[in-house]
Amino acid sequence: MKTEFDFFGKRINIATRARRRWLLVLIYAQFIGLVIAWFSVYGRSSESFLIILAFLVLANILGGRSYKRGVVPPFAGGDERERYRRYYAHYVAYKYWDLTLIPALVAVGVRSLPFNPAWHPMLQVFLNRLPYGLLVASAIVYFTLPQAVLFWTEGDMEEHQ
Amino acid sequence: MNAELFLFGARINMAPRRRRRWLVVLVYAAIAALLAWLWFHNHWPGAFFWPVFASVFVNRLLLGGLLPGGLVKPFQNKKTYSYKSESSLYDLLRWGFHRAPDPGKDTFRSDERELRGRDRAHYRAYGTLYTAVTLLLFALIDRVEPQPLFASLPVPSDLFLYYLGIVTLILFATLPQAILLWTEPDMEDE
Repeated sequence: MKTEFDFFGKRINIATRARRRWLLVLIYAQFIGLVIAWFSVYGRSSESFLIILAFLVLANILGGRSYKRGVVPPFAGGDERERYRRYYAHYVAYKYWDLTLIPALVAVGVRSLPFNPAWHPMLQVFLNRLPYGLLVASAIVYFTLPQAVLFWTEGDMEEHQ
Repeated sequence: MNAELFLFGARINMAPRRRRRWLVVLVYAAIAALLAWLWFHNHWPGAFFWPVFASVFVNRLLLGGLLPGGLVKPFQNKKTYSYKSESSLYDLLRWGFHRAPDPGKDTFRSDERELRGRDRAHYRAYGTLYTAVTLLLFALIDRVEPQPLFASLPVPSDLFLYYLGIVTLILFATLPQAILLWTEPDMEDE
């Protein structure tokens, strides 16, 4: 796990658990922002592409999986302790992930039913877009949660590790 | 992992790996057949209920892990209702799939090796499912694009997305147990 976070050339110390947790909260706040943005630009290719790009940048900052430059080291490699922590993080992260998919599937089902014309147009637009917003949020949680668990639970580190 | 499966009062020896692999193949073949039937007969929105019910059923009675009762010990590694009671009504509700509690033995508790196996199985399962979730995301993005890539598919995109979500959910609920059953070597008969 890195003890410093490089933010446009400025080095920020993240050796303490409290600081890492703050950074994680900030990253997830931006993920939420991206989901809301996705909700707003529904069906517009160029904006959608920018949102995906922003998601990839954030995922790269967080690291894990195959990202080499993130604050969490890539999943391949590491010593035995790191490997078992990684396995356990996956178990913890995905214990309840499927529950995030259920509202999305229900929303897809609701969307397929005929809407009452008396409903407010904004409500109809909202119900139309809701499944996609929920699925995108669910996918973001899937891609990032093991890294987040590792990042959140690692104890205070020596600064020059 | 338990070496025996209880089916309608009969004890089936599942100690050999070959038998456990057959069980995994049969479970997924049955789920695939159910999905195929739903695809042709019941598109919306009730299709969601049956595969989810089927995955709960196979976890509860055959695979275990996520729910207590099957071959793989409960992932949570703590006592659950099934192990506290020998209620006849409960046995009846489980249609004779009852696993008799072994007095004086913590049959629900995993040892250190089993816990590590559990965590590794989750890592492998959800590393593989990464692809399915990526596909789901691409299908989703494609659905709202003005010129969809999958426009030539002979089914509505919503339906495609819906079934992709259901398949992901089923795999998510069963894959770690299937990996454990598939990879665990032959066991000593209990």
